[in-house]
Amino acid sequence: MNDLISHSAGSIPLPVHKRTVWLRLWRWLAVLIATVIAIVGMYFGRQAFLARHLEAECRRLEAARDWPRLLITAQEWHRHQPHRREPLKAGVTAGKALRQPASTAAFLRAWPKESADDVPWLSMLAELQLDLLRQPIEGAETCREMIRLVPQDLSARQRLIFFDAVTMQPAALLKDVRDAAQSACDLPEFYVYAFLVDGLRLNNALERLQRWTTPTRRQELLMVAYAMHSARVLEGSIPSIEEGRATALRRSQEQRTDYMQQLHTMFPENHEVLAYDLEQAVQAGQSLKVAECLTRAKPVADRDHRFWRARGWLLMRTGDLAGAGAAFREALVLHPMDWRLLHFQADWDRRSGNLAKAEVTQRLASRGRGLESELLAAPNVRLIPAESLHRLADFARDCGDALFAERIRHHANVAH
Amino acid sequence: MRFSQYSPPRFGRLILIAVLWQLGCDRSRPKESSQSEPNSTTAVSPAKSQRKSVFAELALSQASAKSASPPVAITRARVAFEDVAPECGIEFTYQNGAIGNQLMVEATGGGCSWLDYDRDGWPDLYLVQGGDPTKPENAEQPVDVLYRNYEGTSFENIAPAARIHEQGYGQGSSAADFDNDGFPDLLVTNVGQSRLYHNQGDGTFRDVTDDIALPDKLWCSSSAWGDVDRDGDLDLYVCRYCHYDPQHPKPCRDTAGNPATCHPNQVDPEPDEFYLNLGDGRFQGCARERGLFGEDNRALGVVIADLNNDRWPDIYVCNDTTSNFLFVNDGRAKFSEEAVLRGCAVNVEGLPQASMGIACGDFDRNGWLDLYLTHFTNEWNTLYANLGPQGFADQTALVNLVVPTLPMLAFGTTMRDFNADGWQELYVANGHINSRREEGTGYEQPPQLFSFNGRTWDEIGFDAGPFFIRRQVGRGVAVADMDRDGRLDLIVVPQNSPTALLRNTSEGSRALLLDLVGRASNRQAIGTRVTATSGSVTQMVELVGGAGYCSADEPVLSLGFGLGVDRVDLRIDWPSGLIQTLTNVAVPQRKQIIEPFADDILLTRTP
Repeated sequence: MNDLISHSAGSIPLPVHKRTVWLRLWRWLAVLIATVIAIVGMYFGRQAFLARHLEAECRRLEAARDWPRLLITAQEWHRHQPHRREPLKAGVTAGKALRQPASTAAFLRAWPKESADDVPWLSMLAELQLDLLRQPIEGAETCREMIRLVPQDLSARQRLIFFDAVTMQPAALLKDVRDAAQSACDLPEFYVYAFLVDGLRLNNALERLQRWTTPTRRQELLMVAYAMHSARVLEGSIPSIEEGRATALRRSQEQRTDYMQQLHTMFPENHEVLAYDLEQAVQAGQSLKVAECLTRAKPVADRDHRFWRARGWLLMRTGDLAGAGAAFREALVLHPMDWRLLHFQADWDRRSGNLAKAEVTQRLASRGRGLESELLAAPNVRLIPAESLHRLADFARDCGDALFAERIRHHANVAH
Repeated sequence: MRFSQYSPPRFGRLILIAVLWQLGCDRSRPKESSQSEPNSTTAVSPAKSQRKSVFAELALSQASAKSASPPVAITRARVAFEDVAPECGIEFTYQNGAIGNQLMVEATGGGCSWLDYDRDGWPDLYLVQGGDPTKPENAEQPVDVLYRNYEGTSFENIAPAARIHEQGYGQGSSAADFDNDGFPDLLVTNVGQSRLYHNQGDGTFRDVTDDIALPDKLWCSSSAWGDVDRDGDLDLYVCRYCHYDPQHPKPCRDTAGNPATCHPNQVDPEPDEFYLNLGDGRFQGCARERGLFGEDNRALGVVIADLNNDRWPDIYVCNDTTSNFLFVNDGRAKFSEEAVLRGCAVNVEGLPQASMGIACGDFDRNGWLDLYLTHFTNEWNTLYANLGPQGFADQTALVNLVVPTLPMLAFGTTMRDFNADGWQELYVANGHINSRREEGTGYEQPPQLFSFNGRTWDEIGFDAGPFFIRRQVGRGVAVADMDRDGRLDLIVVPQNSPTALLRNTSEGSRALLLDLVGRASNRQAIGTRVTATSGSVTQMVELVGGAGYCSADEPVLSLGFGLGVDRVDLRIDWPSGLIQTLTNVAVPQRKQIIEPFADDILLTRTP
């Protein structure tokens, strides 16, 4: 019984031939594993060797200033060690030395975006994208990455906000300026851009947009911005003396009409083109056209003060004072310093029977208009006098934008 | 419980997700049923599954319902005018004296006034003359003319006989009986000394400028008379444009280096003056004391009218390139500037415009006087609709008046019911200030005529006679029923081309014309308001002071009712505060109404 029990509980001894098979299998398995380990080991060993070799080669080539070979070697090294920054650095060095911005940018694009240490390299990339490579949209994205890593990166914010201004993206501009203000990482010009967002005319915008626009790429954003800036520059170049003013106005209007017709054909669904139509329709008092434009708006319009402003205008025309008031409030949240909106708001106050408030609002709107003329007359956005900045700060304060007011005042005091 | 704290059970979450998913699918899928609803907003939405903007929710029907409301059904009679100046003996050309120096003063002159100086019942005509603006004041210059009206068929210049020898560089004129002797007197505004001529009632005038201390030696443009303190005599508001000496002009040039008309902001503004009639033949300049003062005021047009329906005359001033003024009378002839408060300082875009002339009338029949202002090229003429207690609103675009006036540079204007159909028309005199302007609509521009159809304004000039294709440098415009046929005629003064006398040959009915004679009120009855009721239609007209551009209308009120109306009821609010009611007044007719004394009729006195 005990035997029986021990036999049934323990292993039954295998026959000799079966044991041999098992042993053989085990042996083969061991050999296989050893082989795999050896191959893997050899592979990694070779990789390490190659990496070390490539690293050494790169150092040698760099010392020898053999940039073409360094570029190729750095590429190879980066292929072997994609997570290391050193091959990228070597590649960037070579690319820069060879004055090959595309090659340099290729290395920089692969640069990890993990810490503040990476920002100088991203900055280099942004500079290339915004300048030599004519890839402004990618450059702006790089700037956003830099700001994500280092919110206090002033140059990134400066580039980004300039890009927003040049490419005529009012909603993005206002948001980026507010982010900068909240981070206390700003320049006075940011607030000038923000204040003038509906009528911004930059001296160098056309030249910059022309530079950015490549014949091979259909860049809607840039082409639309170019047309819009052209129209505004034409307006701005109108002489103040009566002689010639009418001619200039007429020419400007004709050219603007041409630009807009082309844009409508090319980009019928473009947000900025729609915004232009919307503002024209409001100016012409065409309620139906305004409603039609609003109906065509894309979700991006939800963050655009101009669309809320137009909605308020339309609702006021249809007698919906409550709806109009709500729309104006939304618009003011997005752009508290919008003097055009304040002008509509004053009208709304009047219709609501609040004449005293209407006067206050209208006077504020008039101040805004005067300030706009003053700032537009400045030769350069970086040369705004401290007095003007103080007035802008006062205006922001009276519009209820405490953050902007405080930041602009800070810069005005520094300018003093 | 706060919504954010709510957490559905796990199984519930799955169901919720499924339901939401289903809902999302339903939304993105175009409904067949919606295609059969043409008014549904989904019919205009693209059938894409992408999220729409919140603005897409705005129902088009709301806007379309408002815009598509049909015009008020009216019987529209053709408005027509015929230039009869040559056959009536009016051969006058305003000479601005331009020789290419582009002096500012050359651009603005050309006013006119209707006045029945001899009280024969036929309105006579005073036309100011320009000349050479660079000549000294006492140098020999072409003189102003006073045309006597012989029953609407011929006119004769009787200025020498009337002892008017006005050779100042003329801008405008306004006629009013400032001393209540029944004979209209005359103010002439010049670049230099403006003059007041007292009508002596014997067919002659006497220059009383020095007697009444009217020391204006500045550049004056429009002027307006009104009884702002309601003491029974007429006070005077004079627009002064800017500080500019044509004998020593400020040189301005265009970008090509050619002489150019200076922009208004290149010259110093000159504040206006207000003269309070002291009732003894003297006037007291007291603009500042009365609150009639504002910054950067380069005024070209003015109207004195009750713009807030408190029965006290207010003053609206058109400023060139800066915000306009609305001086609201506080009931003690003290004024506060409330254009900003009431929404008539700047246009719908919040921008000041180059305001020149002004028309005043209740175009929308809401019982509140509206304002129409003329402006520079590429600035539309602006219609400020008076909404009542809510102030004014620029409704130019809403009533289709933006586009037609953009290419024009307008000065004189008037709002009257020329075809007596019950709705107003607008006449606008156009013409550029720059004689070298050859592009676009040019230096000489055709006039425009608009007619209100109850909802929008239609341009009707092309059908109103050959005069409306005549290009001129239009300036002053004034209205009178010069031939007493019950239709309002026009005198139109252009620069450097013959003055036109436009006889109204409109079809349709005739107007009810009211000659008002004040007794407790100022004799000319300026400021009197008449409300006429015919069935369910009520119209209001006021005999305003000023308006137009540098010109004065015949002081007569006109009301049109269209065909089929033969009796109306009138309520007359006299400036004295008396309210007179007349029932079953026959139309059409020309009727003189003399202000009754308090004992004569049952009266109501307003405060």
